[in-house]
Amino acid sequence: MSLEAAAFWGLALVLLASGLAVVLSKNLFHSVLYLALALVATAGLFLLLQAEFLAAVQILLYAGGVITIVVFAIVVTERLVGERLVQTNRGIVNGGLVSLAVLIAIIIFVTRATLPQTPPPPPADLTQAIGRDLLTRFVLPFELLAVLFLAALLGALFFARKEE
Amino acid sequence: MDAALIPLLPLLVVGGTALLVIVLDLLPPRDRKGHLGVVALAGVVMALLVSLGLWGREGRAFRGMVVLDNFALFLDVVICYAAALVLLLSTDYLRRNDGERGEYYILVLLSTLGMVLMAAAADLIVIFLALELMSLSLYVLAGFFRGRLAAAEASMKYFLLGAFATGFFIYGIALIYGATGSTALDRIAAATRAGTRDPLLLVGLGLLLVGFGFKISSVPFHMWVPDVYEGAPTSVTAFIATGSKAAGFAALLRVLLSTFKVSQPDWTVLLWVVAVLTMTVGNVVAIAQSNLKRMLAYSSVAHVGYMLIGVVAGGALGAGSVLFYLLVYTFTTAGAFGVILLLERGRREAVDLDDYAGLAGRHPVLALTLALFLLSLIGMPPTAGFAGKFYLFGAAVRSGYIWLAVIAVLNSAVAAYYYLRVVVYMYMRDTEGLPTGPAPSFAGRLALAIALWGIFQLGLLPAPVLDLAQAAVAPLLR
Repeated sequence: MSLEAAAFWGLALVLLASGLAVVLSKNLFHSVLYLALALVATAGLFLLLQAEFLAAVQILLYAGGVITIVVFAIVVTERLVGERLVQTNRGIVNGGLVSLAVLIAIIIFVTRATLPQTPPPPPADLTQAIGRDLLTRFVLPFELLAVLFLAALLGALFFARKEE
Repeated sequence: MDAALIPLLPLLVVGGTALLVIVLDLLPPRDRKGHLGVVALAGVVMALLVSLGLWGREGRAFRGMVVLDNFALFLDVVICYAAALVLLLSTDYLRRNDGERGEYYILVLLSTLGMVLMAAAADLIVIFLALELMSLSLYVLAGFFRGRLAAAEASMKYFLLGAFATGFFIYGIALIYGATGSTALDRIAAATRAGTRDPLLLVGLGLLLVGFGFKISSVPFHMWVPDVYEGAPTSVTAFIATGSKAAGFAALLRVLLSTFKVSQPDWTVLLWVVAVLTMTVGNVVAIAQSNLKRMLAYSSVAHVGYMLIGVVAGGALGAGSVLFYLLVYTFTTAGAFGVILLLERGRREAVDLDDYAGLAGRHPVLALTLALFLLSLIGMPPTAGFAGKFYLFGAAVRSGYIWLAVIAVLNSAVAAYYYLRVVVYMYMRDTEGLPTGPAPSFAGRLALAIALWGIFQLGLLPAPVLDLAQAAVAPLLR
């Protein structure tokens, strides 16, 4: 087994285990920590695919930003509720069955698909290419994101504002 | 003006108005925001006129990510009508419920922008962003009456399930990109035309359909509908039922008809089942509802089932009758919710069936108006509902889906029961309790008049509009 394959299987194992732990953990805070681990493992997969920029963004935005916000949310709501939040898994059997069915369906379809044996060569300077495409080919989605964030910001402000 | 920007013209009008309203919201007066509603309405009407003026022109912008064709323009008109009716109904309603805030008009405009963009988008990334812009604004609007528990529940449920559906949608886009190497609809179409049935592509399409299913509220993705429709402000409910459905069908039709033409046999079978389930579940559960908003929620699910018949039937007639029905449904549903939000009973909205007992004696005009909208929902001639259903079911028969048409007709018969029950309450029961309700404002009366004009115009002279609808789907079927 090559080093690359070993790294892939190692990361995949960490990703699956931490993903399961997010769902199964009884303590909400532990779930968040496992989620952080899963996100870092995803960044590792991006690195393996030679997408260094995506890996960095993944760690900065998700493992850094999103996790911080979730931790804040837990801290604030625990103070509001006045007791520790414990995750319950009442629907675990049904949820597990649905997940299993979806998993099997996806595995069946993906194994039937003809995927290329070798990955296409990555562009010489990936970060530069992303930057250029973002402001040329994908300039409309880029601008639309700004409008989307405006709507999100307005909504957040509306709900956060004190009642008069 | 730069010719490259013409395909974006309706979008620019709506988006520009949204920015204008944001600025105006900061200026005095602080406590009255009715004038923002007027500005927003002017913007939407302008977008409507621009769309009508552009009819027949074709173009693309931003490397084909946005297209201008009659299909987009027809749906622009439907969406702008929905937004205009909702804005007309809102101002007075918000004031009566202490919910007069500038954010309302901004968010209605931003979600209209998302809807108009969905109709014109020709790239999965743009469709996704437009969908999110529309949905995000509607999540906030659903919880706009902050003091009410039901509103918070509606907003939260809509948000959580909507976010869940978004996950499916984006996973589907990723798989389609993996299978074809592009997110542009025409490139995907070219890639699928060459190859045979690629399993990866089919899974991707399936996941996309799950995402769309949530947005247009087809069974089994309709669980959020009753709670959201009931808890949201009634004007927002009307907008979710009309505008967001038209936008969802717009993107769905464009993706299915122009991009996944090759897999038509596969998705037709799937949608046949979904259509039957959607109309049957919607109608059967609606019978048991005593809350009018919940009843109309389930009825809207059933109507999605009828419209899916047109998608299954396919061709210019099938797809054209879906567009026609979207226009009919917009007038009818916005009108029905419009009457509900005008009625009050002792400081709360009249939403229970009992509140409508003897309404014909207290508010003869409003009772008659509501009765006409309900008859259009049943599909009685000479209202537009009849013409709409006639074309949809006729398209199914012509394409050989006799059983589908039979099931749909049986469903319509079941549906007549719960719509007529409201009419019976209004006309044949005695008044109980407080006979209240403010006199409708001028804007409210205007909205109801436009909706009434719509259902009779489309009911008495449907053929010209159906011709336009068929011309609108022609670019997709090429």
